[in-house]
Amino acid sequence: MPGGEDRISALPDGVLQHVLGFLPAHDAVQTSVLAGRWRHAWRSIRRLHLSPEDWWDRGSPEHLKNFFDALLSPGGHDSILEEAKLDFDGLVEDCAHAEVWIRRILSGQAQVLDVSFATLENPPLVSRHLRKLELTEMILEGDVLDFASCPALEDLKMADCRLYLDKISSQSVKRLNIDSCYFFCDCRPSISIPSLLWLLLDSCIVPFLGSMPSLETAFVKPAAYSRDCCIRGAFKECCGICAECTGDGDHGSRCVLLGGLASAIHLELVAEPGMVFLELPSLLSV
Amino acid sequence: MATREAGKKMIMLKSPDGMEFEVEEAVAMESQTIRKMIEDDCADTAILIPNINSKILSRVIEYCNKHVPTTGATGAAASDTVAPAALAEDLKIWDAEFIKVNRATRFNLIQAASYLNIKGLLDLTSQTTIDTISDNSLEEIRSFLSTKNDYLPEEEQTIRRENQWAFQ
Repeated sequence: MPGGEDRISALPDGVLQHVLGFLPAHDAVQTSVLAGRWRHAWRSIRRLHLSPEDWWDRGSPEHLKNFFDALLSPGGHDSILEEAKLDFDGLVEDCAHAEVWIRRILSGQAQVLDVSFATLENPPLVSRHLRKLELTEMILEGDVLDFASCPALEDLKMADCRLYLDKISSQSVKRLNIDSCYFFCDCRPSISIPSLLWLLLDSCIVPFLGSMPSLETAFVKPAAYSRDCCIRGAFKECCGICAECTGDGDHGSRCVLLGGLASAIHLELVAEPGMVFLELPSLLSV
Repeated sequence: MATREAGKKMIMLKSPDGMEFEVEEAVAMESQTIRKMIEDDCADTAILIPNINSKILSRVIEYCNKHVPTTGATGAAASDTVAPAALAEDLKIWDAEFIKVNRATRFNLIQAASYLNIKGLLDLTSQTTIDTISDNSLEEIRSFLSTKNDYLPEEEQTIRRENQWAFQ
């Protein structure tokens, strides 16, 4: 535009902070020595991408802790990060630190969070603004996947996670993608997300699926490795009548594992040879 | 407010240089700022978009047109989750072409995206801007930001010590 200002420093502070969020973390921090105006600007970035490639040759776990302590200003205002992608692979010695940072980010303005290689334990996550959560190579324990306190969460994606828990629940999630996750729990895990529109379950044990009246599209491919039956039958096959086969008792003898998929318009079920879907006719007649 | 087809509300957007753009309400609502105006019922007539000339506004509308969740030929809303990967890839290629503009246009687009609160466009323009700093050295960033160092040498040393790791 003729006569238009094309220097980035002419942008208003709020926009500039957004732009700076696209710098790698250490470059953003370096802006503190540019000039007085910039001394604390990096603490106001709205977006943070942290990856081992950017960090390894520069910082130790101690430096990372200093960075987050400065960025998330404990005791000060809430974090104003809106989007964070944090790959902690090999970066932290004490997992508890990463969990504290994640929770502090969530309690602020965060809308999109993507975390890899960390551990989240009790209590449930709390975030007013979180819309999208992606967890990769995580260890998840306790009630951490109870999203009652994340009312804006719509997208949940988990891949290659180890889950020491038996329940995933939300009233708001619309799209759920669980790929190659392993559940370590005594009973069959359950998913209770009545708001779900889209579901992908790939290479996992098939959980109990609660009612999902709005479900449009579902892709379910149980894990090939899992011998996913109760072995209480006469020949150590699935008995089809015990609590593990039929749910918590509320479901009677109806098809509970996949019954939640009944309203799906597009449904794809992929089974390994030898896998039996009990009572499939009653599902397909819906 | 004009209506063209059943179910498709149209909104008139006006740039300060007098150009008018008739766009679908859904397209206009890609802008959170306009969405709020519509939801608050402040948009019965044409909406004047201050500070954004017709050239930039038409590019912004082009972006919103591409990024609005589409309606399939059958009339059924095509969910963006049916083939999210393919759709995202298609948009990424389109975005890369869209943002091949000169520096002045890009800064105008940043300002427009910020004022109109269009997250995707703001991210695209921001990322592209940062990508133009080749190796992110401090001097590159300093010249990129057109900033003069106003620290005393000892002040600068103190600040460097605070976050020593970042300067290694």
